Amino acid sequence: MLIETRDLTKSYDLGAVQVDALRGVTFGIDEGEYVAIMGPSGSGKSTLMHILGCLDTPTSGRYSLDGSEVSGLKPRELARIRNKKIGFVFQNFNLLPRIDLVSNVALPLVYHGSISRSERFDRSKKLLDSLGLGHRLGHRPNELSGGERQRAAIARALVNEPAILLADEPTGNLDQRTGREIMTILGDLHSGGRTIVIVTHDAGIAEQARRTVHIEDGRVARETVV
Amino acid sequence: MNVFESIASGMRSIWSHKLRSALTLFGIVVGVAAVVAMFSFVGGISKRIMEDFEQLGFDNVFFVSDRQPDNPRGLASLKVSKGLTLQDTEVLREEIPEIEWLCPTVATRIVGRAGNQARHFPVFGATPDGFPILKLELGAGRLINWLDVENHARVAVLGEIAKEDLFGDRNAVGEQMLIGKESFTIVGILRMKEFSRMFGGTGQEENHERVYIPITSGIHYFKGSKSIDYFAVRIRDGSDIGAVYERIHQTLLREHRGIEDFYIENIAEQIAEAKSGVERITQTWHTILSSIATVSLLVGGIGLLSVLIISVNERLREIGIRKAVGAEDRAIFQQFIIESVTISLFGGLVGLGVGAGLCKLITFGAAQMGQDFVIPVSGAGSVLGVSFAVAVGVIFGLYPAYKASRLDPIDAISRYA
Repeated sequence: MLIETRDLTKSYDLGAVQVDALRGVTFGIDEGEYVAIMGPSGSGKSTLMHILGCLDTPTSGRYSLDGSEVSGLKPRELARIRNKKIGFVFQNFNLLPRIDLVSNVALPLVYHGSISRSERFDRSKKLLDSLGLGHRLGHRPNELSGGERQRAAIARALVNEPAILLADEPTGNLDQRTGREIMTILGDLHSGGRTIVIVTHDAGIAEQARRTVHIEDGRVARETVV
Repeated sequence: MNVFESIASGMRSIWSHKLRSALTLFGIVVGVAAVVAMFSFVGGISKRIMEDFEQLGFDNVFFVSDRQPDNPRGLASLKVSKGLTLQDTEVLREEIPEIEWLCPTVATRIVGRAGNQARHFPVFGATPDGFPILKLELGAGRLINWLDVENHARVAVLGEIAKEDLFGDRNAVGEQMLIGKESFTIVGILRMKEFSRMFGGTGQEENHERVYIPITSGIHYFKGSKSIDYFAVRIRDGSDIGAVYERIHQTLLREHRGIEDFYIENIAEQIAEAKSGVERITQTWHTILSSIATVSLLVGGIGLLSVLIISVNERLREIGIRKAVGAEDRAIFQQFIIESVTISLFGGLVGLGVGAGLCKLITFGAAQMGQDFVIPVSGAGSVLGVSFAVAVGVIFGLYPAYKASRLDPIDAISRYA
C-alpha cells in the first residue's frame, strides 16, 4: 500500500476548548488508485489532506507513506518528503505571482538540491508543453486564465515525479467547462498510472474517482467504489 | 534555491517596490556616503599637511650652531676648543653613517650689487650638500659644486627672490655681481616650489632671499676666523632621530674636549612630533566618524528592518507555497537574509558612488576657485562603509528571515487565500 493510516487523530487546543478535527481515521490507498475524499465543510477532510500531504502532523495514530513511517518526523524531514513524494494542486492555484510560468513549475526542483538549472527548465518546459501551455512559458500567472493557471499548477505538482498527487478542490475556483477540462486531465493522469487523491465536497467531482472515502465528523463514515 | 537566485529575488523585490526601496535605502546610502566622503576629506587634508611638512624641508634635519659655552670654565675654555670647524664635519661624516648630507655654513649680511641695483643680502657660504638639505631646486644654470669649494671660487647661486631684486625678469646666469667689494660670477638661480598655501606662508621665502657661495669663499672673503657658524645636517629617512642626535652630541663633545660650545637644534624631532600629532588627530577623527557612521547606519538598519517585516507579511503566501513544495526552513531563512544583504549592499554601493562623487565635486569646486585641493577617495572609508552596509543587512535581516522561516505552511498559505 502506498498510503496507510491507522487511528489518525488531530486535536487543536484553542485555549478553553479542544477541537477534535480527526477522531481516528483508518484507511489505505494503493498505488495507481484514484480516490476522492469527500465530506461537508468542517468534517475534517482538509485536516486529513494536510496530514496526508505532510503539511501537518497527527496528534496520534500512524501514517505510512510509500513504505516509510511519516508521523513523528521533524519539519525538515517532512519538507523533504513534500519535495520528493508529494505533488499539491490547490483550489486557488497558489502560483507565485512575481515569477514566470516555467519558474513556477520548476520551483519544487529548486529545493530538490541537485538538479541543474537547465534540467529544471527542460523538465518544466516539457510538462507545460504536454499540458498545452508551451506558448505561455514566459508569462506571469496573472496573465493567464484560471484554467491555464490550474494546468500550470498541475505541471508544478508533477515536476518532481511524486508518488502521489494531492488535489484540494481543484475545480473550486473554475467555471464548469474549465473544471471539466481539469478533471479530464486528472483522469488522463490516472490512466497513465498516477496515484491521485482528490479532496472535495462536490459529489459530481467525487464521482470521477474510482473510490470515494466519506469523512464525517472526523471519522471515515463509509466508502463507495465505482 | 541557490545564492544567485536569492540575489535575483532580492533585486526583483527592490525593483517591484521602487519607492519603498528608495526610502529604505536612503538611510544606508546617506550613512555610507557620509563615511566615504568624510574619511576621504580627513585623509585628503592630513595627506596635504604631511606633504607640506615634507616640502618645508625640515624633516630629518638638525642644526648644530656655535655658541658661547656656559660652563664654569667660561672663556678660558675657548683656548681648549676652537668651536665648530670643518674638521668636525669630517669626523661626523666618518663616524655617523646615518648622516646623509652635512653642510657647514657661514652666514653674513652684506651689500650685493648688480648694474644699478643694490641691497643687503644674507650671504651664505655653503657646500653642495646645503641644497638637498633645504630641498632647494635649481631653476637655471648650475649649483655650487665641490670643485668650487676646493678652489675658493668666486661663484654665486641666487635665490629666486634675490635674483628678482637684482635682475628683475632679465637673465642672470653668467652675469657678474659685487658682494661687498668682491666680484662673483652668478652660475645658477634657484626656483621656488609650488605647494600648498593652505596655512598661509610657505616658509620658503627666507631661503630665496639669500645669495649662496662656496663655504671656503665665505670664510676667505667675509670672515675673520676659521670657525663655522653652523652645520646643517640631514639624516637618512627612517633613522632613529633621538639616537642620532645623541651620537652627534657625544662626538662633538669629544672633539671639543668636553666643552659644550655648540647647540644642536633638533628640528627633526619637532617635525616628527608635529607629524605624529597630525596622525593622532586623523585617528581621532576616524574614530569619531566611525561612531557617527555606526549611528546613521543603525538608523538605516531600522528602516530596513521595518521594510523586511512588511515584506515578510506581504509574502506569507509565497513563503507557504515554497514550503509546501519542499523548501526547508533554512532555505527560506537564506532567501530572506540574502535579499536583505542584497538591498543593503546595493545601498552601500550607491552610497559609495555618492561619497566618491562628493570628493570629486569638492576637488572640482576647489579647482574652479583656483585651489589645487585634491581629495582622493579613501580606500579605508570605502571598505568600511560598504562592509558596514553589509553588516546592517545581515543583522537587521536576521529577525525577519527567522520569522519567515518558522512560518507554518498551512497558516501561511491560507492567509489571503
